[in-house]
Amino acid sequence: MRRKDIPRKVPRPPRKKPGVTDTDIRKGILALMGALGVLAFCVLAGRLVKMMLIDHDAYEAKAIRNQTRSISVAAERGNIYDRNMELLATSVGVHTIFLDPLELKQNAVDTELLADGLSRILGLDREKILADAGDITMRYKVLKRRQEQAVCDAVIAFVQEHDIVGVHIEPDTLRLYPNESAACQLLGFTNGENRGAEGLEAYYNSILEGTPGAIITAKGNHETEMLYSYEKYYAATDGSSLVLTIDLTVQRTLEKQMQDAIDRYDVQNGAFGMVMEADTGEILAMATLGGYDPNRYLEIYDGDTAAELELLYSQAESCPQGSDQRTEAFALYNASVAEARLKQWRNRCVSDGYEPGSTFKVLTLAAALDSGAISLNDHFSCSGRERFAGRSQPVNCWKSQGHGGQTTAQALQNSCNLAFSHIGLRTGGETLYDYYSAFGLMETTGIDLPGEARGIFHTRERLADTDTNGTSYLIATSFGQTIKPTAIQLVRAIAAVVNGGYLMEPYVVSHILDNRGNIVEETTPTVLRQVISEETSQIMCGLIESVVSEGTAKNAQVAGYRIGGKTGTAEKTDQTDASGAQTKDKIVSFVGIAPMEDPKYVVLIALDTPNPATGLYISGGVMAAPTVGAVLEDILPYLGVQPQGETAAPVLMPDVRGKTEQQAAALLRESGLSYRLMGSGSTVRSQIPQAGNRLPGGATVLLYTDDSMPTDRPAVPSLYGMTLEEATRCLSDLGLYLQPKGADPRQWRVTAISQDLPPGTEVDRGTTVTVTFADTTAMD
Amino acid sequence: MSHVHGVRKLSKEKPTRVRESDLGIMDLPYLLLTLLLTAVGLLVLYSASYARAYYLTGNPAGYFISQLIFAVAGVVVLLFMSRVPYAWYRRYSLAIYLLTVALLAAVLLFGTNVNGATRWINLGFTQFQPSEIAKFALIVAMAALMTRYKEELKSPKIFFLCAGALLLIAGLLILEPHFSATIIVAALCFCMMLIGGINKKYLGIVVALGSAGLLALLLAGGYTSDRITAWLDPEADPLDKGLQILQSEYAIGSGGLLGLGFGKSRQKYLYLPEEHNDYIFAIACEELGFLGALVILLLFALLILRGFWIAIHARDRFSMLLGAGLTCLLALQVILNVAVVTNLLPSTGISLPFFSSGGTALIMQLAECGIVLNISRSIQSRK
Repeated sequence: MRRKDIPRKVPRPPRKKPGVTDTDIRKGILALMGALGVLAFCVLAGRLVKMMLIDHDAYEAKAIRNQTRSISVAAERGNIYDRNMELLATSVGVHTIFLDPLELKQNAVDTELLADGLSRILGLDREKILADAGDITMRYKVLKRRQEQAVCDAVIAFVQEHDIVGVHIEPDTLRLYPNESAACQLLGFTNGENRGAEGLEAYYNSILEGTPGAIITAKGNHETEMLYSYEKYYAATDGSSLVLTIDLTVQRTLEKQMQDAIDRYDVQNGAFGMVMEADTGEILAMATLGGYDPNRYLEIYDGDTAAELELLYSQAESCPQGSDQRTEAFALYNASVAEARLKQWRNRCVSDGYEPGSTFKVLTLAAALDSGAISLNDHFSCSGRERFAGRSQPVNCWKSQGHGGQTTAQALQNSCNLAFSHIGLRTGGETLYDYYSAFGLMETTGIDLPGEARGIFHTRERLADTDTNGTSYLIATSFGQTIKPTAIQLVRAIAAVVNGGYLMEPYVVSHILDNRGNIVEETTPTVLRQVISEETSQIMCGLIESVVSEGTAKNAQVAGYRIGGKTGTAEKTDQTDASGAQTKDKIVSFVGIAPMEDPKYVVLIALDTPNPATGLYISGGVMAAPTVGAVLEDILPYLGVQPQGETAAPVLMPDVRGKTEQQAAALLRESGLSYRLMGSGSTVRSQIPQAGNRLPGGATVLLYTDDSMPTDRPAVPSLYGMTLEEATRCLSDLGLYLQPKGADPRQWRVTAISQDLPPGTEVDRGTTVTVTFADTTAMD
Repeated sequence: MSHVHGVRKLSKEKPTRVRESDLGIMDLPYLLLTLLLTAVGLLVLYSASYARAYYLTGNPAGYFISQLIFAVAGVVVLLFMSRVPYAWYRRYSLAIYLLTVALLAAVLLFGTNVNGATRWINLGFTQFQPSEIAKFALIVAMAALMTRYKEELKSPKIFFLCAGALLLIAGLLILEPHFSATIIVAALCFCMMLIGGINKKYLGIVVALGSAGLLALLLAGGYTSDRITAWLDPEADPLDKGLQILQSEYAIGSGGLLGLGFGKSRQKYLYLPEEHNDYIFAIACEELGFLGALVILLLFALLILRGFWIAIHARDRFSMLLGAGLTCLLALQVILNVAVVTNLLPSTGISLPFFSSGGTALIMQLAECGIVLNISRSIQSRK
């Protein structure tokens, strides 16, 4: 049908006419045209605007995450150095060798051959490798961790030679502590994931560990390379290094002397101690013995504990398989192992309170003097036992016959409990509490170490309100009982007593170095507040020094130095035996300060539970004071504090052989030595001691002008318990010299307690024996 | 207007006989748009299929070359079809329809089964999808029916005839199963009945029944409802059911205004499944950006508008309906494909004409464009 008229001109068909006109069709098509050709496309375009323009960034980010692979680049953990840049902790690159059993199977690897080769290279059991390789449910079977490069090279060579697919090596790091157990609790260690788990490693973990980097590569979905791929490298930021205030030499000296004390006094429960710089709060050394080697921190280092654990393990092993008994026994074993580990990891200087005993009297006296409650001219009488109002039990002085009348200074020198009861009562609980609080005993010190405890102290009300609570707490606190500050709290407070009254914030990290060695952070000493006046501090210094020179702490004396300090002996109130009664266990301690003309160092050593079986009187004066004295004697010259006054410092024997008597006499005079000439020759033929030997200053040497010099080797006698006079005579009879050490041996009751050459050692004539003297009757 | 004859033949209205010499030239805009889309489609396919072709065969141009051959063949077919008088389709409409039904039955019997669906007949040199023919056959059959019974369009008879023609084909498609083709033919028939003037009452019933059917499918759960879940919340299962739509969204979204540049898609590196096929538009968006995608959509829209324009100006009822039907088919495929790729609609599996890889589809598309061009020639002839 040919249409002549164009649609628009077609007249509207009559309404009755059935069917549909072409115009209707055209209208329908037009509508569809609008719907499908315009409207629908507008919707689609709108959708594209939303996805491609508005949400573009979000989609792009997701797409990039989708298309990229990120390989982590490990950051190197920073080192830890002591104040002289001695390395304390460092990391080395090691490797983990592992199998992918599924991959081995897929590549039809001869596992027998593999096991032969790897067992040879890695020193592993061949059967174990076979079993690991056969476990195809796993894709990661570690053969050996922490292997050095040489071992890896051998593995790689073997794998390549036999064309084995499925043996992998991945890098890891190993933390090394070159000084082994030195300062172990302070340093802490890193765990299996190379994160700091204890000590400084934990406290400064975020600074030490740095930020791992990444290599981001765009990869196709099947790890195919892309034609237009991109790669970005984000460098790892290596961790920063810590430079400590710790001095490794001081640390080692402290640990050595503490260990010697533990051996000497058979100390049952370890020891702890520290050296703090009084003016700054810097810690030079901090040690807890009964420690561990952080290189192998999981091992138990205490022999007795390890034996006990061994026993527990064998008991558990002997239980029948699968029984409840066995499960329980192993649970007990595991709990005991965990407990033993926590114990050896614990830094008792900051994490535990302890019984300070009489060392605490320093703070009480400082408070009493500074508040004006008492003066130096006050007198206190001690009958050995006294009843106080508001306290049911009488107070006993450690010296049961009593100290008689005492000045304030003597009260401290004698460490008289009765005198301090009076001092406490006179000062009043309120004032005392406020001073103790100002000394920082109610707060953590803020030292940069993890797990700091706050110690245990009475409430202010308990000390102040004696009407309600009686005087018992106040009196006991005055002489350092019923409270448990931490060692760091006490040392800091005593530092404040002697440094002019300033309470410092102690710290261990002196500065932080970035990976290029630049200082990024430096700790400066922080004065928190002044607790007592400079004058009181001055007075206290004098009193503290007199305790060593005249009081209970004579054993802390070091020749040539002015030492101050206070002894402490306390019963451990929280130790009970099987019957529930309190044990007689004691903790003895000494806080030493030196040099007293300008107090620089505060040293605390506490020995936990010396064994009464040694027969020595258990007291801080007998045990802790000489230990601190020995530490000071070693570290003071090292730290540059010059000895003063006449000292019998050892001198070197010059070579005077071949000289005339006159020439020899001149040489010896230079060294401060006198001589005795034997024989009648004109020149010296031989001498005792030999040239280069050390001998005490002022000693008399023997010169022989003939061949009469004796050449026998005398045995060193035991000098224990002798006075200086006795010991000197005993040695000189054998042609040996005595170099005294420790408490001033000219004082009353001071006797030899140890000698550097054990009795029975055969030595040349003219050898010097160093003998340590102490007042073994010193109490408290 | 038209004359009522006997009901002996489908071709009740006498076919318009037009001598070849009477015909004008083809509609040039339509031809140019068709060729342009074919060319752009080939280029995008080259880039999009690059990675997968390389991964699977080692020859990155593999898909492109094969598609290029089909495109050249398709243009020849287009030119040929533009010279085949459209009236022949009306004359042979019954034969075409029956042949299609036979082919669809043959697929069920002899077809190759891919992923649990039997849609292909292997012709030796290529695979062939009878469902492509079925869409065309249904358009021809409907156009012929509605032209034949133009006076009784409002009667139930014509509705049932049309519906019957649809249901037979749709039923065979569902048996394959080939849901996307079923949806297309159903939508196509609906559109054609709408413009053809079938009683709106019946169409209302169809819509109601269709909606009820769709709802039933969803409630029945399984395959279809999984797709709905993936559509509404693709991130719930990003590695399986939501994978394709998520990867498509990443591709489109990361395109931005200007795209990553031609050939620089990242998502085509085996992240986006079917990136050379149903989801090729996503790669086009990623590489060419919003502006490029808009140009492609614009080309499609212009081609569709021009197709409808030709249908509106067609010289008789059959060619109007045929032209509109073919244009509708193109429009539905494009719109549904882009809507799926942009996650406006749940995933169906409809390819993008001129772009998606697939020889039969491209040749069929170009052939259908040739038919529209033939219709345009009869308009020209009048001038």
